[in-house]
Amino acid sequence: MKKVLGVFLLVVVVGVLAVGVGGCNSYNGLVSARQGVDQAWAQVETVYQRRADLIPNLVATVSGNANFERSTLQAVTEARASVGQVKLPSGQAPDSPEVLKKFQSAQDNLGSALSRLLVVAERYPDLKASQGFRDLQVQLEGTENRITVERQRFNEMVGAYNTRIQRFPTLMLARLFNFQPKAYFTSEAGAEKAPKVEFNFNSPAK
Amino acid sequence: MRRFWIISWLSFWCGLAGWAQPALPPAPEKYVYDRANLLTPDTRTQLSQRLDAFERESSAQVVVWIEPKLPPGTTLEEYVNRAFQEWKIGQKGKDNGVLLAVFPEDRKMRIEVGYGLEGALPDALAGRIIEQEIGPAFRQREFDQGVTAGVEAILAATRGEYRGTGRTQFTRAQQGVSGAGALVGGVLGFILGAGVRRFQVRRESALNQVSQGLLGGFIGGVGHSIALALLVQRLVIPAGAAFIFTWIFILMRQRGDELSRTGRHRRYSQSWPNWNTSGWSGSGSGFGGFGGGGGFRGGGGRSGGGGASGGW
Repeated sequence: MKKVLGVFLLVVVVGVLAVGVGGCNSYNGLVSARQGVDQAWAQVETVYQRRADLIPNLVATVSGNANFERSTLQAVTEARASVGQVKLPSGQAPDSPEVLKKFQSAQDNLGSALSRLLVVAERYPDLKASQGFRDLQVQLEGTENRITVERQRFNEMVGAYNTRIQRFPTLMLARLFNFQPKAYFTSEAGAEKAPKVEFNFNSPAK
Repeated sequence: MRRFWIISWLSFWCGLAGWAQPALPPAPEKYVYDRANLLTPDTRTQLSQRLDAFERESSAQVVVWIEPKLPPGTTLEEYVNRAFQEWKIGQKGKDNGVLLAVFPEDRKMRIEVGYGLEGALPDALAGRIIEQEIGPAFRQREFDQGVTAGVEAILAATRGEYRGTGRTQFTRAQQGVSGAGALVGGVLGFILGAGVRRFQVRRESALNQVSQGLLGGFIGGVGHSIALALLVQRLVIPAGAAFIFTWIFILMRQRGDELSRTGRHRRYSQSWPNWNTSGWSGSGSGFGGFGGGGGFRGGGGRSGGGGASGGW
């Protein structure tokens, strides 16, 4: 009788230990997955900040050209200001899709204002020929490329994390410790196409 | 064999990802990866030697990649960035790599810069190198001259950013493989030696010896695949192989315990000196024979899309 009890106790202890060790493991896995998402988010913020930091320089260079179109410049400055107004939780990736969407649409506005500016600049040969402007143009292109790369990596990290917290055994832990799913960047309808610019030089529409 | 591993590894990941992304060519083995035969052999050798020396001096990896053209369904930036990631240009933790990619049929090129060199080689400078050093020569179809000038400009910009160790990732990998091979060979020799010794001392239990021999052979095979895998891919395969290896070893130990329990303990321990004399007969399998400027091996660097693109 005592032997049976002993074996039973041993099984219980081993079972509890196994669940405990497994639980710790998957909890640690969850924490590092979330950490990965937050790190990827920090990269995203860095590259967006990099673009924002280029703007004063760009504005200075462009407005040096006396007759440069004022409205285009203004659109860029305004878009940049509106980016700064989106409030985000600091140090971690936003949980709510609405917040991320607001952030994304403000950034996308700035992006399209900038690419409009680059297109308009094509009409100013003096400006285009200046080394300062050419460097800025390369920097802007590089920054846009970085944004694409980091956004994609962020989405991959979020994908891995979201899958993890929705899979069965880990699901219970995620509920218990309140691991929320994170929001993705979405590509806007038509965002894969370059912005369309209409030139109307008093010519009849084709 | 090496190429086989690389290809199967790549296709494994592509299959796993299930993406319709155009496949990359196998990872380069040299610093100048000219798949379009754009450069003369002399220039290739010269540049390779230059870049090998540069990695020894500065630990930064600069790779020239010439591909006939971009596959459809991708962009220049995406494709080159993916190649950079996949080939792990630059050292792990430092991310100090630069990839100069040229697509002659598209008349496009890109300088992709790893995270760690974005400060030394900012986008604007990369843009100027393309526009002022490489582009003009390419327009006159002086490809050797253009690539050489571009590489020189990249080296000039990144020199002094990191300090080298006098070695490259390639030599390090060779040493690693030799070490692993020696270790595996040693273990294999130890087991075989013990088996032979036991055979000499006591001629019985033929079944036991056969199974020992088989196990020894199996372990040798596993060891060889570990050595190969270490060279090709440093995570998944070795982990699996090490796992199997460990289990076999544990099983072997249990056998040994059983043996010693039946009174052969003394003879088993007698075979210990044997371990030193005839046991370490295994030798490392080095992968040499890449003359002319040394080989290239990715160190684990990453890039966040820095650099510049251009055409001619």
